Amino acid sequence: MSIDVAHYHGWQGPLRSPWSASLAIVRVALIQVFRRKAYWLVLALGLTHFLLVWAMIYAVNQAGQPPEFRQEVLQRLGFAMSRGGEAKNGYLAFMERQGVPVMILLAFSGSLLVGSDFRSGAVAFYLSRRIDRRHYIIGKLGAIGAIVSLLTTIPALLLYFEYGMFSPSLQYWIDNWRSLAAVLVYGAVLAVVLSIWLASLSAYLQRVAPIAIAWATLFILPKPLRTLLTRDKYDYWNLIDPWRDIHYAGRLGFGELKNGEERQFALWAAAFLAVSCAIALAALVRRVRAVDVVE
Amino acid sequence: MLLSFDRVTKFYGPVIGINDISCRIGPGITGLLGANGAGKSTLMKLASGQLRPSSGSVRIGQHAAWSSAAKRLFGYSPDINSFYEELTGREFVYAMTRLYGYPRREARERTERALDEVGMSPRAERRLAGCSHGMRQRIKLAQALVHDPPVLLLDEPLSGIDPGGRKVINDLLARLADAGKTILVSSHILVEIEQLADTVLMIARGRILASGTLGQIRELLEDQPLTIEIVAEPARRLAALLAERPEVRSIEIRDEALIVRTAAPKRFFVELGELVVREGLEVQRLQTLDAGADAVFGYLEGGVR
Amino acid sequence: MSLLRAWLTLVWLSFRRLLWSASTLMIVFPLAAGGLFLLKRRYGAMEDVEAAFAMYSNFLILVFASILIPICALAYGTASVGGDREDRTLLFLLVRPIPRWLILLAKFTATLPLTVGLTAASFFIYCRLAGEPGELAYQLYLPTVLFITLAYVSLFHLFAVSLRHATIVALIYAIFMEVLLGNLPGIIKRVAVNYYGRSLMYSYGAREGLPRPEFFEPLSASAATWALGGIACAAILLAMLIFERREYRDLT
Repeated sequence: MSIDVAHYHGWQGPLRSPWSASLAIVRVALIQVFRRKAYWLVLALGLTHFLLVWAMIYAVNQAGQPPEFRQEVLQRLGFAMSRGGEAKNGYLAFMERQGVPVMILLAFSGSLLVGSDFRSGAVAFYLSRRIDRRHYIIGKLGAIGAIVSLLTTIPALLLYFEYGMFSPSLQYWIDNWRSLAAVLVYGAVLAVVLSIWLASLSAYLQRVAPIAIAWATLFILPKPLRTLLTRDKYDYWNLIDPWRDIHYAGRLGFGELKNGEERQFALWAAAFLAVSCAIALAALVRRVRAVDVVE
Repeated sequence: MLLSFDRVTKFYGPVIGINDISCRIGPGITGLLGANGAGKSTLMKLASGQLRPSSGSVRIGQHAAWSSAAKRLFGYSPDINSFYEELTGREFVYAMTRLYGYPRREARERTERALDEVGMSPRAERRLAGCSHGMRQRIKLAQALVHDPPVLLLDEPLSGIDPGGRKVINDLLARLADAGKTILVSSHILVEIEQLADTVLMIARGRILASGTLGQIRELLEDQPLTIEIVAEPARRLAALLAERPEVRSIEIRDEALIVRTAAPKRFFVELGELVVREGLEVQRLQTLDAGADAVFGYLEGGVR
Repeated sequence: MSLLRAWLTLVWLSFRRLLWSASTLMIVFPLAAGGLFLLKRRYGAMEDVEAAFAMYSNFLILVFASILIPICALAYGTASVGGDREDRTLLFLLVRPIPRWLILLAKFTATLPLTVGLTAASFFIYCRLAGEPGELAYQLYLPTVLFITLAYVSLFHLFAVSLRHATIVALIYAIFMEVLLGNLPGIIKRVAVNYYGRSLMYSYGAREGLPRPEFFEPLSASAATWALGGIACAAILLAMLIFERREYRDLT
């Protein structure tokens, strides 16, 4: 059957920017991820924590609760340093506690979202369209970033929204706009750093086992080593722990860091993350090619 | 050596893959035809002992296909494109040969013979990751032949192979069939099977629709619709006369020819003969367009919908 | 045609593929990080040998036995069968005339020298780096390190034959469930391999004055050894049984 008979014809209208193809890549990647039951299990793990915090905020805001109870619960959720002490951003504490499900979900997703493209030759399929490697990379980073945000930033924003809803006026949201900004900045640092690292790692390692081992090594091993190596909270050996680096770099600005030492450490952490992300991104750009030459 | 399916049913959870199939496949080339999802792969997996039937039995000679004893009796070329990519074609076939327990020297000889037979000897030093699809198909075929099995199960063996390669493989399979091997070849490309197989097993929705040679199957279906091309003078007069016949479904004039679709071919040919003689028409060409495998399979499959 | 020859070929083929896999490359990094940590800490230079031994033992228990050994075992234990499943090359093995349980045993046999060799070698190097406390620890803990490795490798083979996403499940199990379950009160901690490993290490370490954590109730050394050996045997036998009977429908 000829093409004419099959009624194929060229698109007559104007074509959208290739950047919109990045959105399509994000959409397809998310569909891939959430089609698998195992991902829903990990997601459920993350959402259980969210629901718990949601319920606690609901409980402490109910009329008739004694102030001591309220203070105790807030303290446990990370919203207050100590009894009657300085207020703390509990949303960021919540996002940090989401680290475990995020780490598992990403260890799982790396091979599926990026590694399999290289293993099955799908990169050439993407790059044979009207897009180049920038669009492909941004699409993949966007997908990983969306997964990270789904477990961290978005639930934190919902908690912020919930907290304000239980206030008698809009005053909570007005007074605490810095908390909101801090959540967004911290969420952005998490999404950008984790997506670049994971995409780069997955492009080279490709299969589930090495990616999972590398990812676990990156996020689990440094913590006990750091604990055994350092005596001081701001010792530079602390920089070997990426979670901690993200924790400090994400808190730069909006009054989240309380003293000069903390700020100094956060700047070092941000510099460390920026350099590592630049290296990872350069490696990723080098790896994404339409034609793979096999010896 | 006989490959036999005896009342075989295979369930995948609540989904039925193969439904109460019984057949015996003997020496020669048998083509397994079916659309995607018809049950071809399930049948191949059952024959190669990857799956166990939910009920019934699949046997190769005297052995259940699932048993390791049966696995000496068949060679299997799967329809996957996965290999030990880091090995060369030669290393891969050699490793697979060694897995039959041959000593080194014997395995090396068998490897070379198999590679030679599929026309891969000069190119087998290339790493599998760098081999074309056609080369990989030949390597898969070579690893199925190494132990000279009496039964060969070949899942889509010709896909991705260039015409020259097809001829090499078709000739090889014909030689093996002549030597008394039982060869089951699956494909959804009917022309391939038509050229290759002596006997055809048509399968759809987990059931065998028909088995036998294509000619035999066509005879069984003599009252099935048929498309015929007629070049005659005067063409328009013939078209007008044929249009009055109840067994004619449609007539299309294409260039100088009439394309006639009839619902009852046997009656149509009798009446066409009478008409030509009675009206003094001159028929220059008469040819059925869809008596091949495609049409037969289409009719059969239509029947089970 | 000899079955033994076929089996040995499979062992060699699997060993070669695992050795030259990306997993080997990845496993070098955490092991090297452990070595660098020991170079920085310089336990051998400490004057109080007993305190240095206790600190080095803590490194071995908290980092080496709880993280590095599981990661080594996971790298090869799940990848030996899981890699073939993921690549769908398992099919080429399943259609050969080797009984399925022997295929799994071949995979296990190919994995053992790699994991045991890697953990024992890195343990040896660590102990050399740690100086005098290291020498003491090497004599005391080597059998424990081998038992823990064996138990994890067997367990991860069981995961690999039973589960589709075995690597991830094994990772979650080794890193989170083991830590979580191993530290719970009551007898539930006995489901964690890590618990028996720590019991053994604390038991042997106590001879050299290693203090036991306040809330940790260890099993006796002999009971813990039997438990680790039992887990290794039971897991691999169960894995062979499952592999013998299981259909892998996702291969084609």
